[in-house]
Amino acid sequence: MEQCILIYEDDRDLLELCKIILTSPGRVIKTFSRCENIISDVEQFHPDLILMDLWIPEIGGKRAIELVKEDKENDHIAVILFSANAEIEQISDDLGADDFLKKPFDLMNFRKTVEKHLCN
Amino acid sequence: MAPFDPQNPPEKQLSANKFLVVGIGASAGGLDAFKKIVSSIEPNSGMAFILVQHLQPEHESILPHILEKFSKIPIIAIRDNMKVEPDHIYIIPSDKLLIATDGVLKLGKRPTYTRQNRAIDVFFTSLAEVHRGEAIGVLLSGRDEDGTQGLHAIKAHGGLAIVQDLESAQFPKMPESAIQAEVVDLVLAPEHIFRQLVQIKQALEDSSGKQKLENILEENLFEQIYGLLLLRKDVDFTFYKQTTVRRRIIRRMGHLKLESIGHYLHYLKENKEEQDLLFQDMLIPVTEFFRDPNTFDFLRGSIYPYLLEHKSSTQPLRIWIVGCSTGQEVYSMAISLFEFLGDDIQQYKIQIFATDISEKAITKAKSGQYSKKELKGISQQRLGQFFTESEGKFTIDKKIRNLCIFAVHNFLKDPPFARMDIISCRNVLIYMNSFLQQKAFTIFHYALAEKGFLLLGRSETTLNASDLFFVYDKKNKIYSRKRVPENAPKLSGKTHTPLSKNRMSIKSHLGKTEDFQRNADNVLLSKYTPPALIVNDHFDIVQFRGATSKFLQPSPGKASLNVLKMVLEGLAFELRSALHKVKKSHQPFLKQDIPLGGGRLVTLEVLPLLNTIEPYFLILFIERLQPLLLDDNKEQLDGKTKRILQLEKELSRLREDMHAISEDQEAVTEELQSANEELLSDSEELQSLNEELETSAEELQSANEELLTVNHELSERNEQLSEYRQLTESIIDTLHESFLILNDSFKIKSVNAAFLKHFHCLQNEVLGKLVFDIQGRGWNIPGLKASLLKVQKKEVSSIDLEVSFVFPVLGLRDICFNIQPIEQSSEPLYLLAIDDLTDRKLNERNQILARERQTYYDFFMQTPAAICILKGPSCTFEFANPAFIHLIGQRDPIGMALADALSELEDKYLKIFDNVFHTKTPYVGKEIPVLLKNKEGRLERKYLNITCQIFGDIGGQPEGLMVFVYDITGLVRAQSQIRENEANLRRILEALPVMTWTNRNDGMITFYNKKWYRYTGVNFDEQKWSGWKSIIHPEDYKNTLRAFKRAIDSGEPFEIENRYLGADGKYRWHLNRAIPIFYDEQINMWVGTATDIHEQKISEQKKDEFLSIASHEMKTPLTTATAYLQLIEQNLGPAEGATRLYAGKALASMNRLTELIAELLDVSKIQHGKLSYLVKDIDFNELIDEAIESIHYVAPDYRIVRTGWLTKKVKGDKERLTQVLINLLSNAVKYSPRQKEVKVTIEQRTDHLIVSVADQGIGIYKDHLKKIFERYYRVNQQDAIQFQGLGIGLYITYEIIKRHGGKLWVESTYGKGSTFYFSLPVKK
Repeated sequence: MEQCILIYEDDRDLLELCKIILTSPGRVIKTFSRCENIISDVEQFHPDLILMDLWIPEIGGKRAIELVKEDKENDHIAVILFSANAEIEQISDDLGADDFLKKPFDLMNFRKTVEKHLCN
Repeated sequence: MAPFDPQNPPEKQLSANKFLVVGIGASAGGLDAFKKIVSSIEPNSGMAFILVQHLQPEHESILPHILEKFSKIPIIAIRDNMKVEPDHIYIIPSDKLLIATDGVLKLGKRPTYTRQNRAIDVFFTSLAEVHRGEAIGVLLSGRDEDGTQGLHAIKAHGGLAIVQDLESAQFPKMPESAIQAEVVDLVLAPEHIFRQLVQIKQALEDSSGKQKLENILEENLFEQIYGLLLLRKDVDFTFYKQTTVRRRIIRRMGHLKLESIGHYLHYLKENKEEQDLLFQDMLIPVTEFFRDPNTFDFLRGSIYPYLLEHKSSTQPLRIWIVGCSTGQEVYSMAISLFEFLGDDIQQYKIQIFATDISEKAITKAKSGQYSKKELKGISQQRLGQFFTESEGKFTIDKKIRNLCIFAVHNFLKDPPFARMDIISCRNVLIYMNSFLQQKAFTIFHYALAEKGFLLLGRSETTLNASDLFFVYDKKNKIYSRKRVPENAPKLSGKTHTPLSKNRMSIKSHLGKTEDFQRNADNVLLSKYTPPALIVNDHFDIVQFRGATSKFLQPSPGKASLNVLKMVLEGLAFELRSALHKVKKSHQPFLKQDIPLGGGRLVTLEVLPLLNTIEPYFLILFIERLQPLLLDDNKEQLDGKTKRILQLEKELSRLREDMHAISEDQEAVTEELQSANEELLSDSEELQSLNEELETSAEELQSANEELLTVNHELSERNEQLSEYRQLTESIIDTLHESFLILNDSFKIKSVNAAFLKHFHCLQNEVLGKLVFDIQGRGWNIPGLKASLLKVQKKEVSSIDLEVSFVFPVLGLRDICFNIQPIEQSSEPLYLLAIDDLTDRKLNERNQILARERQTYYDFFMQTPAAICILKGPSCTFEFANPAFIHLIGQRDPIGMALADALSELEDKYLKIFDNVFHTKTPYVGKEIPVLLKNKEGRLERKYLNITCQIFGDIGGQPEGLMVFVYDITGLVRAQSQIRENEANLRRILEALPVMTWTNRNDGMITFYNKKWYRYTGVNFDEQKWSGWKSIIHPEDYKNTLRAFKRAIDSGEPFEIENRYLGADGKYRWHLNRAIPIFYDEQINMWVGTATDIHEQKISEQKKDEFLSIASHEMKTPLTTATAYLQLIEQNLGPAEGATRLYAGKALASMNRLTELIAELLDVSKIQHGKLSYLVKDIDFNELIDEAIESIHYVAPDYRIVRTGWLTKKVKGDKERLTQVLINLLSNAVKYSPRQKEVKVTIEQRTDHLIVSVADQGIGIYKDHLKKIFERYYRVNQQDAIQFQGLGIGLYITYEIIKRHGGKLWVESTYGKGSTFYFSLPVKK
């Protein structure tokens, strides 16, 4: 079965970059620069993993994740936060995210983190 | 060969010689011992002897010449390097020291610096070192302690040490010293040393030599023990049965828990009591009444009747109990005799002698008292008949006791008794060996009367002396004496010395070997020698030789061997005179041709046998027949013959007469002799009686001695008493206190000198008088008699009576009488001690007054208050203290009126004093401003507190005024100064363009300036206490209050930024500053300012916000750019080297950019106080290792040395603290381009840790040191410009450490390197 990753990031360059890095056979990658429709996105694509920027219009990454986490059916979806915010670790813990990436992140580290959660 | 140096002897080597080398050392008195040893040395012993004698160095020794005469082997005076050979005796020269090397003797000069001669020690020590086990040291008589050390060395090397016994040594000090040092194996008499040496040699040569040698040594130890007992108790145990005796010794050892006989010997030497105990133990006092009852039956049945048959009332029946122990045996014998004889006993004289060597046993036996247990063998009937009971003890009856005589007696040694009818010696011989038994039998044989009986114990026999005794009754061990005409046993006071054996040959009784020579002699003797007799001193025949029967005939009557009785009558007279002559002259005597009738002529020759201990005489008979010439001319000689015949007849008649006379004389002599014998035995008895008397005498003497001692003690006590008396009297006389001693009727018995002197009276005026009557009855002191009576009736033990009384001579005095009874004396006495208190009391009173006056004066003079006393209505100065004089400008007012003395005083004040004086009302005035002249005469305003009151009273008028003045001018001035200062301060505060206030230390606001009211729009009362708090912005409220409180608590200035609500309803930022104002080291008040910094603050906020957003925004493209660069780098193949390099460089720049942005962001957050910390327990050791590793990753060519380890826990933000370390480490690396070593040291203290990072880099100038932790500060040094950075790294570090409650500091020397330290609190 194909793997599906949803990436939410308002910086288009970074969004593109993430797509490039993560693209591989047997994997579907969907990118979004806004996050208010996240529930319908999840319903539509049934992702295995969500990469979420913290500072993203309109409702912000934090709220978006909360929405996803409200539904118990989404428990299997791994959530990774990424942000330039220094307190990301704390926020990630509070939200119950599976992992976080601190901007600027290292390419290798980024890949490793994502692969880890896809495997699970 | 090098000369021998006694201080430094050459190295010793073990000797290869395998023969014993005996060193013999002696000093004073050694010659005699030497002689004895040398003369006992036999040739071919295989031993070498080396004699070392202390000699005068000045004289040449003639010892070799002296000893040569006694020696059987060569004697050689030692020369240097002489080889030692066996069977030689070597002697030391007089002025030398001798040492032994391998088989060679060396001589050394005797040191002259010391008087003490150590020649024996020196020689023995060298002997020990060279010959080891083969060395034997013998130490003889001498006066010092030389040799002990030498013997010690010999023993230590396995050799043998022998010393001369102390009894034979002329000077025993030398051997004694060695014995005390316990280095001695054998103690021997000199003459036995050689024999012992031969045994030792044999023992050593034997395969089991070791064991044998040990036996010899053990043997010697036992002999030493016997020697001690012999010395103490005069009893020799050497010939007692060794098994028994040694068992006894071992029993004692067991008691004392001693392991070896050597130890026991040592203990025994030290301990005289143990010697007594051992002696008692050796004696084994085992006995009982009627032991072996059959024997007593037999005595009654056979022996007593037989003996008593021949006894008349004058001839006593004599019985000797040998080894009677505690007397049971004796009394048994006596009782059995008593029972046998019944009441007839009165007709006989019975003497039972009982002896033992134990004094203790004899004492008990004498007492005749036994316990019930001891009376086992006594039947109930006998008990009633022969004992009386008292207090559980049974005492033997007098009638039995009187039959017995007890004495301490050693039958082996002391002279024996004689003419005994029975000797009972039961179970004594069993403890002795055959030699001693032999001796005992000889003694018993002697002591028994002709038909006497010997009684032995069940297991004893006379087998050893079958020639002396018959078996009379085998079953009951009763023996009868054989009549053996041999001379008396050899008796001597001292039988033998304990350490010598084998000197008496016991073999004489064993088989006799006969040989042909002897046979030949016998034949010759019998054939050719004339018949002969050998007689002893008493002329009893002891041997018959040849045919003597021709000359002897048994005389009728009692059988006798006396030669004078047995010889033919014709010879008796001649023989008697011949024997007496020879006995006197010791010369042979010849009497020729004694006619014997029948023509026989006998020549008698009597020869004394010399060289015998007792005199013996040989009597030879030579017979010849007389030729009968007379027959031929009978007629011719008729007349002559007739005459001859007549003469012959006459002669024979005369001879018969003479014979009769001589027989009479003979009889008398015999009687005398027997009387003499009886006397001798009587004297023995007397002796033992005497001994009993002796013991009583001794007891009396000891009692007497005790009395003497008591007497002596008494007289000493007496002397002491009189001494004390004198002492007491002289003490009493010298005492200053007066004493009287009164008798029971209160008459004066004794008086001391002080009394007589004090009360001015004479001794004879007071002695013997009633105490109340002395000095003309002037001592009728009230209470004295009552007190005396109280003491007399013993109502009180002593009494003190203090009275004031008018004495006859002295007048009124205060006196303390102390009355005490003197208890010890026979008549009750009373000691009246008289203490005159008058002068003392007066003195005391005066002293107290003077002291009080002084105290008041001192107080007035020293008090800071000004005091003066004014007298009379004119107020004249009587007294003014220094403070007052000071107050009035050092003028002396004494004697002057107030108005004159202080002329500047205004009238109104003079009136005050006047008023007090007249109205007698005190005046109190406060802060009175008075003008007074000072030292320079200028008027000065003084503020005074004045108190004034009257004192004394003279005729209704006060005596004067007392005035107290306190000068409070300074205080008043200071207060006004403070008030002025405060006013000034407020003026300044009003003038300032900022809001200002002052408050007290308790927080109450005392002042706001007008600008404050204008801004806030409230009045003072609203804001006085906590109103001001209401205008603080709610967000700043907490911080402000906390800072304010902290400042008040610590007394330190405070500074805080907050927002105040203005009258327009808007908040504006203000910078608050407050500083404490101290007065007398106390905070008097706080002065605060609030400066409006609103505009500034807002713009700064905007800048920080901008920075924050900017850096945040920069991160996203940075991430993208970095990731792309990494992608590029990954996608480039290895061939495109240059491009890879470029990509790498670009990435490095990106990383640098990331760091810079992070730092900027941090700074901005610190500014906002928004840098967040995630505080957790962290593993600080790991943190440091990780930081070092990551620096190492960046700067691999630097060596970072970490020391120290933390055991305590640290709480903090791991990431931030890592940042701190990395910052410090990268600085260290950055600023030390040449020295590639950085040291990281962790130091743990009680409540904090200190980490230091030290480099050896360029260092920092001193003036930069303070600023380097400031924001954007870059070290502006020539050599530092090359290093990049924003100058915010240390600022961030500083802030992080500060937030963790730690400190950051630096030490640096320019050009040598810097060390950065930071401390952090740790969990305790």
